[in-house]
Amino acid sequence: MPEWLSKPEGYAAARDRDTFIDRSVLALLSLISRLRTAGAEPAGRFAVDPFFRVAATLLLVVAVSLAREFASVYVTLTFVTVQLAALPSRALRGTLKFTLITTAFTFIVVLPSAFLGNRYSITMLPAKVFVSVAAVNILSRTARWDALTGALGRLRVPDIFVFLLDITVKYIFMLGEFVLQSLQALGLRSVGRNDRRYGSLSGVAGVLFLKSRQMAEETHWAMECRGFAGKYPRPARLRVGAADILYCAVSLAVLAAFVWIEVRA
Amino acid sequence: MHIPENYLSPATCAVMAAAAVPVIAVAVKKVRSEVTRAKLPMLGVGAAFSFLLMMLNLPLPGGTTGHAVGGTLIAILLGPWSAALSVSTALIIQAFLFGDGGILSLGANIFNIAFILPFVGYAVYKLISGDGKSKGREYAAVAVGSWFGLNAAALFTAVEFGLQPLLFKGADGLPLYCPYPLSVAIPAMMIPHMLVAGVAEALFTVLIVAYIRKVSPGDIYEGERKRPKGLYALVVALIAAVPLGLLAAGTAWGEWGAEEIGELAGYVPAGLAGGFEFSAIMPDYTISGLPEIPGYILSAIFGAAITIVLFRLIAGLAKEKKS
Repeated sequence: MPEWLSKPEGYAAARDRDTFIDRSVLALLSLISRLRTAGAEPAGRFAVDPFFRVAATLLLVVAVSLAREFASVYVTLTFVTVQLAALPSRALRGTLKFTLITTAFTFIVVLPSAFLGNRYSITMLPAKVFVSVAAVNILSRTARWDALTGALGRLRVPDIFVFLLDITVKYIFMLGEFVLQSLQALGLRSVGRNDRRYGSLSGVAGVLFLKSRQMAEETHWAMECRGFAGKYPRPARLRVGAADILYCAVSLAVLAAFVWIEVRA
Repeated sequence: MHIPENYLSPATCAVMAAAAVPVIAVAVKKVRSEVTRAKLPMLGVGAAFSFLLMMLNLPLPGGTTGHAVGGTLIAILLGPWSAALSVSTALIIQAFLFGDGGILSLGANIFNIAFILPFVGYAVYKLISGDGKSKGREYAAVAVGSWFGLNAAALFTAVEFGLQPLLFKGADGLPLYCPYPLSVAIPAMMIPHMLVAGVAEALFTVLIVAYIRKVSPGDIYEGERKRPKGLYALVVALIAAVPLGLLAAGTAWGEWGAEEIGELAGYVPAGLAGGFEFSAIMPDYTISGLPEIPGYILSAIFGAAITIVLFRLIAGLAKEKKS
């Protein structure tokens, strides 16, 4: 037996902070888990067909951006707050966190105008941002991605757009998992101090690019094999239940109140 | 019963806030450790409930108005500490969003309405109901307890009002803040509250306890069936009834604006004329550009929803701490 094998070596790996790997891994994990759980919430309270919800949310966002009276924004604010109160608690916390941060940011941005005596924009703009961001967040957190793209198809959004959206969401998910695995592999193989972090990270990025090209080709072949030319079959007729009717009635009432206030003012 | 801005001297406000802070701190702690997770969302509904009850103004003899609070009700259903937390949440939302009750006097309002009221009400209820075997006795306890709770809160409010002219006078000898001494404030607050508002509170509490007993007894007794939908229905019914609160035209005793008090007392106290003024986004539950009744209903829906949202957030935090 050679002598060096019997000697204790006493190698202690130099401590190194893997924050860059950890941070990227965490960010990716949260993204993937969000995509995976989006819409996985119990549908009981939000059993309304996504078609109506997408349509109503779009209308709401457009209406809010056109509002000139605080009273009409208040009507939509109440509508959104009632929906918030009915959200499952995870979705509620996520939505509020995101919405409040954007609202606070808007508030800070318009704050100088308050010092110049403009009291209108300091309440109007944050309120508008709150309503629009919250409405879109509620929709995205309680409806599944495929249901949303389906609803867009019904709304006569061009097929190519729906196709792109669909593929993008799916591949963010798939490529995200791929990067996650690469980063984990990198982390496991790194011992001691890594002085070439940027090199290893750009390596991951390069592999990712190659992988995405390969995946795109595979998708193309899969489409050809199945005779899919990017044209979706028209979905079957909508089934309208009591929840849908109630939701539409409330949305229409909100819209009517909104128009009434704006026209009267 | 909501003390507005500048009716109490800043010193009084500081003392009352110092009294209210430990109340809320202990309430949060107690609720976290004692209330089961399943019941936490119920607190939000309770707070929404109390918010709506306080919007239903009743005309009182003497031209003023008053309202029920529902604090004893929540105390009976969920415990007095839960009631303290629920009613405090409702009061905070009222003060900041709707300008009902002042910001500086929020501590006093929390102490009177969210602490004294449910605890006195609950204590009297426990004292009378005994072992809870006799149904009639229990309902009597509910009625008497809630009557006492509301009037205890009114008494505290009256005393805080009445002390101001004794303690704080300007150089000209005129009171700086609330101008009415104890001899005026106590009868003016207590007689209408004992005769009308307290009775209304007792009536509401008994009716709602009876309703919950029938629809969802699990919320009162362990092991019985539970139907939270019935409670949400109650909240919706209250929202529909809220415009009735507009029928009572007068201002509540001790909640006048500076002009009104100038007419009533003959002069405007200095502290009231030039004091701190917080302009709420939706003062008095109305909103410019909307007629009164729809605005009031909208505020009721908005207030109830935001109370539930706030509470579900608190419940979520408590869950995270536990797990």
